[in-house]
Amino acid sequence: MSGTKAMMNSRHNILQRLRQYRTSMPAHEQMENPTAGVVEVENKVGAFTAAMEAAHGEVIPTTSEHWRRDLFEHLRAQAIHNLMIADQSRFADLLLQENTGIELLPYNQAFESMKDDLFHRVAAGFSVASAGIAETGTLIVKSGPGEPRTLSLVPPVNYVWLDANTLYQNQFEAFADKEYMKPLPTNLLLISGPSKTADIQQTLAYGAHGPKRLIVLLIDG
Amino acid sequence: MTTQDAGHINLNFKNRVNEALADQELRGNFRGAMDFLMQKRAAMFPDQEDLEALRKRGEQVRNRCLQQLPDLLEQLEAQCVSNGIQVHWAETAEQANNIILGIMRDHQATRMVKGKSMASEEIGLNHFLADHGIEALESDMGEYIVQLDHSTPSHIIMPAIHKNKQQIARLFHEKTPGVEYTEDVDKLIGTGREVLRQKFFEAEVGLSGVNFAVAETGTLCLVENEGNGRMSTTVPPVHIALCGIEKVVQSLADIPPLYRLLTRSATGQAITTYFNMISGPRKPDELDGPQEVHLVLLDNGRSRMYADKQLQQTLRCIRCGACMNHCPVYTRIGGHAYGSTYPGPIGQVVSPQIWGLNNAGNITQACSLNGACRDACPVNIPLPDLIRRLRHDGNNSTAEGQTAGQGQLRKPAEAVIWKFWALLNRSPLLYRLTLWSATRFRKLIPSHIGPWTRYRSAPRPASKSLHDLMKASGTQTNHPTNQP
Ligand code: SF4
Repeated sequence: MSGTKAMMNSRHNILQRLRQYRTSMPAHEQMENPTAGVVEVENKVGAFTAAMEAAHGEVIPTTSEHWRRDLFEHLRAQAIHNLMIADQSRFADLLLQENTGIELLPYNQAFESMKDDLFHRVAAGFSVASAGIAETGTLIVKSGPGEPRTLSLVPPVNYVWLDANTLYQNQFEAFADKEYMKPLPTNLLLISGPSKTADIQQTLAYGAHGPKRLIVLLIDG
Repeated sequence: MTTQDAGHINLNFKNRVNEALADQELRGNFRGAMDFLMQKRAAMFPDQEDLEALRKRGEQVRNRCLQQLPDLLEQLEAQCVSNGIQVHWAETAEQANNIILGIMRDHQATRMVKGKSMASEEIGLNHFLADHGIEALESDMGEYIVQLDHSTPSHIIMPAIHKNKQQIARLFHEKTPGVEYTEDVDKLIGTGREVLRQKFFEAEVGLSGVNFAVAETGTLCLVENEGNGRMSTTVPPVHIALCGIEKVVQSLADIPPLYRLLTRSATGQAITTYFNMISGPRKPDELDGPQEVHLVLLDNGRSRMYADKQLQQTLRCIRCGACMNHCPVYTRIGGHAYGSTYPGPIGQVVSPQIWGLNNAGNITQACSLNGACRDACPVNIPLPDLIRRLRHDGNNSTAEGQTAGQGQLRKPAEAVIWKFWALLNRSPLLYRLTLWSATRFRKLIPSHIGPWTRYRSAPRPASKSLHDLMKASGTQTNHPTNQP
């Protein structure tokens, strides 16, 4: 196919030019200040909560014992009638068997079959963060069989479970944790609040394309 | 914008500037927006020393990655392929457009939804696809507004910054069936959300840019607040990422300092809502995500920039837009006056190197060399030096660099004037004679001299030169023996 050949040529030409000129690049400098930008955080839960709330996210402080009760109370109080959870989520069995008056929808088929519901019917999605970042109020969500990425994206409300013990101080610390970062999932997401935009005259508006509300169940104890 | 129509940048540049300067509403919109963005950035960097240390770190990270660029590109390719991402290489805008069209055709796709990608603006993708019967819809709110208005972005981070609320309200009301006129921003965004959700739902292909591509892991990183980038890369069955070859970084550890600099410099945010890291298409045991991910690596002049010791610094750019936010010229003339995909200081440096000095060199004139851009740049790019260098190359066909169109901005009349000026300053007799006539015949200088006198009165030489005055006061001049 001529297209493939043209592309092979392009690849070859680009790399060849770069190799030819590479000598003009400044030689490898010793990093002058390898910790610049690193901010240490002592009170991780406090910092996380403050940053998340500053970004218009909501934080429900709770415990491993009470979080389900708190979740359903919150859903009822906010008149959110249904919640979708992946049926392979680590909490699927726990949640799906609850009888709470809230309709629990399992995410149990390929996206193509779920798409219509996700866009038009699901009121809230349930996600599990595998870690968080205190300084910036950030949730880290790794895609996988139990964590479809559209659950934290398409429904208007997103509830996210987060264990306070998994909080890193800052992004530097999280990204340097080789064990946590390898292997990377198909989609690793840092989420730091509900979707927003300031594209109209610098006026902040929430719920641009993703969730309008982000509610964190912060498990501390 | 392809090379063929890039000549627009030079053509009518002055007219565009004059029109922009005369548009009070436009000037108000930019002034307000730039003041806002500068303040927000300043609030994020309260300590000058910390900021300098972080900028130095950012500069060094980018330099290290650029130093290894060819190796990192190969590593990125190998890693992406092993993750299941298909990698394409494009030397030119035309090749990139055709690769993307080819992928669309392979899927018989006619509907593309786009996350924000300046590289796609650079290659004129929307026009190209439209000519082939494919609708490419912008989904970033700012880009969507601009597309609805049949216009182009006026800022690389905030595309619709040239418009105010009232103008956008009118646009939505006129262009979207059934939408009432409202200046309520939440309602306006709500309208955009509704329209675009349907488009995400229907799109067959999603296209995005790339902020950082990690060689070590084969990961494409996207920075955004709205979620349209996630939508475009998650919902359609095919995702195409268009990535300038300079965007590659070595490892995950390179990201935090650059990301920190990027969001704080761009919009004064500590972090964006989403940092989206894509390392492959949907796996067999996963329920969602695109079935195919394509990475298109775009050169389009970048390897030429790489060749020059000074101009290669252009490639450090992380496209934060801070240089335009701080530029007094950009603030007054706005982004469209430049006529290029990339406006402001970085645009003045990048555009001539992509499209040639003959096509895009004139915009280097829109700079007072005040240095505000250099002081704001998170990776210490010496933008004023690069602008001066390109001005020089535009006038010298024998310049060292590889930029196309060198020497083609040379104006014979200007060259003659400078030659005369040089001569004048080398010959004392001629100098004195000119000085003498300038002071004697000063009244003969016309009161209208071109654009200079449109807003100012004509200059008039003093009746006595500085030399005359000093002589009269008894001060000695030009006596080396008098010097201490
Ligand atoms: S040149 Fe510097 S300030 Fe301008 S966009 Fe690039 S990184 Fe930002």
